Amino acid sequence: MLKHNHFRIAAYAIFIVTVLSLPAFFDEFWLNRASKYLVYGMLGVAISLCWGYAGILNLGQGLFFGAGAYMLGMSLKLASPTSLQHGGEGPVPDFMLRNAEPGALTELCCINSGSYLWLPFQSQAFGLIMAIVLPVLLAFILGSIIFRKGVSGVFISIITLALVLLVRLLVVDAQALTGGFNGLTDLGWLTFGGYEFDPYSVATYYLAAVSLILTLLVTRLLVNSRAGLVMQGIRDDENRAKYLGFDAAAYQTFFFCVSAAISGFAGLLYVVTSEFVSPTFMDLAFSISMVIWAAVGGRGSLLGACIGAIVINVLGATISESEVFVESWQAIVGLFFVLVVLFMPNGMAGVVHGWCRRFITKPSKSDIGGQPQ
Amino acid sequence: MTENNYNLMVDGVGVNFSGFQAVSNFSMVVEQGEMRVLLGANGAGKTTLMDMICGKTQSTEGRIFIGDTEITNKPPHTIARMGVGRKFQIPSVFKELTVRQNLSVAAMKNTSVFANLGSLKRRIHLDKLEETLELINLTRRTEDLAGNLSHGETQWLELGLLVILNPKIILLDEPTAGMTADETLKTSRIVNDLKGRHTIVAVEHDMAFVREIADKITVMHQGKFLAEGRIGDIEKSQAVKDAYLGSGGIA
Repeated sequence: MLKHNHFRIAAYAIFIVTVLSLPAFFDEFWLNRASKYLVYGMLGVAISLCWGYAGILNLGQGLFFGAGAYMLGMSLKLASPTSLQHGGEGPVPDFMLRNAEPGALTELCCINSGSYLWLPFQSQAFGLIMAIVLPVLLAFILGSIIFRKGVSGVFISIITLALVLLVRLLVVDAQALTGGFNGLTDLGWLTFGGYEFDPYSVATYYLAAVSLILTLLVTRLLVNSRAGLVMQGIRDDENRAKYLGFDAAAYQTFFFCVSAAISGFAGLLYVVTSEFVSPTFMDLAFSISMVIWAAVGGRGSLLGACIGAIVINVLGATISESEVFVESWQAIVGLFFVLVVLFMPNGMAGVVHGWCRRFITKPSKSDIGGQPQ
Repeated sequence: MTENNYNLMVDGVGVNFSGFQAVSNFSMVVEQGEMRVLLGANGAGKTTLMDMICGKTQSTEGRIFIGDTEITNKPPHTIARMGVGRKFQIPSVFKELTVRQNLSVAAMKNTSVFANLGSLKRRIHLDKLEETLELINLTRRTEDLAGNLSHGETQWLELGLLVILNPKIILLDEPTAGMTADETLKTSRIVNDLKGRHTIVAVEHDMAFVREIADKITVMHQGKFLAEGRIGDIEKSQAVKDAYLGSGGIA
């Protein structure tokens, strides 16, 4: 066990050092792209926690990502110069002006019937807090219902899948409030503690990098805690855990909420680096992609799923930009996924675990067991 | 007070599965520290009765008490916290966790999420964990995954979970099913160790094992109470012989 842990610590250390040292090798343009990949890495961690450790396959993780993105996006929209061009009092998003009825008062309170909801988002702190609170709240309500009702397995996946599509529909439909299909564009910069985060700056890259590292470490501590062990027990045999006195639904709801918080956090960071919010964040394809990243990296490993997400996105971006594969890159990434699932059921992390095991355990007759993932 | 009196009282319980009366108006009292064996043919309602005691199945009539505390139809984890431990017919352990991790889950001093956010090295009954590993004979397999254990070892691991949990009442559903004679012997050692410290109700078909462990026997037949007494009385009972007509009694 101890030796196995040494390998894990080494893997985390290598990853952290690599991530932190990238600014020494790349310019701001590439760092901006890299920070988006790190955000995808956070989503990998969220999926691994929820799917690999808690046994809950959420096919609608984009709901929490999107909720986080829209919450901060609203604040950054109000901070954008485009929201101040109307000449009236205070900021008003440009899409609201375009859609306003003739004679409507050009103020955020009353330009349309729901615009007052935007008022608190003039504070970026409110946007930041809501980017975490709203996903957690949604996860808590959803989790309380499905886990208390004893919904399990594939039915959770179906419900979450349907829900993300429903919310996407509502967001697109409420165009006056959300910008509809266009989402929120021309966003201002995040200003935090008196510092402006230019998306194309080393500081913003470090914001994403440190966020990812902290998320990884805190999540690692969580799965190593007593609650983390109980959660894995519930994943293996929910009834056994119940008859040992554990309230399985409470544990599932808690881990579901933590996973949602990480996704919301990833959503807000994505907005900071990409300067837009779009209902495509809640596309089904995007939520499914996240699951694929985690499967390729290894859902049973937080770091594996994180690296899986980063690798696939780097791979996808690289292939799609070469002229030869410009049409076929998605098929290639798809093929890669099929191969991984066929030949590495525990993903890339599973393969690495296997290599490490050769170094730790000298095969003996009495030792035929495996190591926990 | 419940503190010093935790006998199990089942008072006229029954369950109706949409028209099928699996158990009806069944009553028994198991004294504190007693080892009671439930006998009966397949379909007599033994497992269903255990399901109702531990909250897996909601009873449609009657009430169940531990001492003075009613536990009828409470959620399973609540009943477990009130002191009922259950061993299932099909051994049920955490297959992707190691033996030690399995026992650690049972050894936690608190069951709530927020009380368990700390390290695995704390707030856990470590002394009990080591003792139990000895008792269930798995000290050499602590770091193996439970999914890699043999059938007998899995059964002992599940018994080990109950030993650590230290419930007032233990329900054992066929603890020796599928075991070799040797394994059965070891199992009776573990169960005998539990005797006296816990109130135990066991379903078992292996009569050698029953003679080894039982204080009293309750016989069920078609969901109803049939007979109760020491093993000698049961073997002589005319009612039991009639119920098992043709098979020449239970032995």
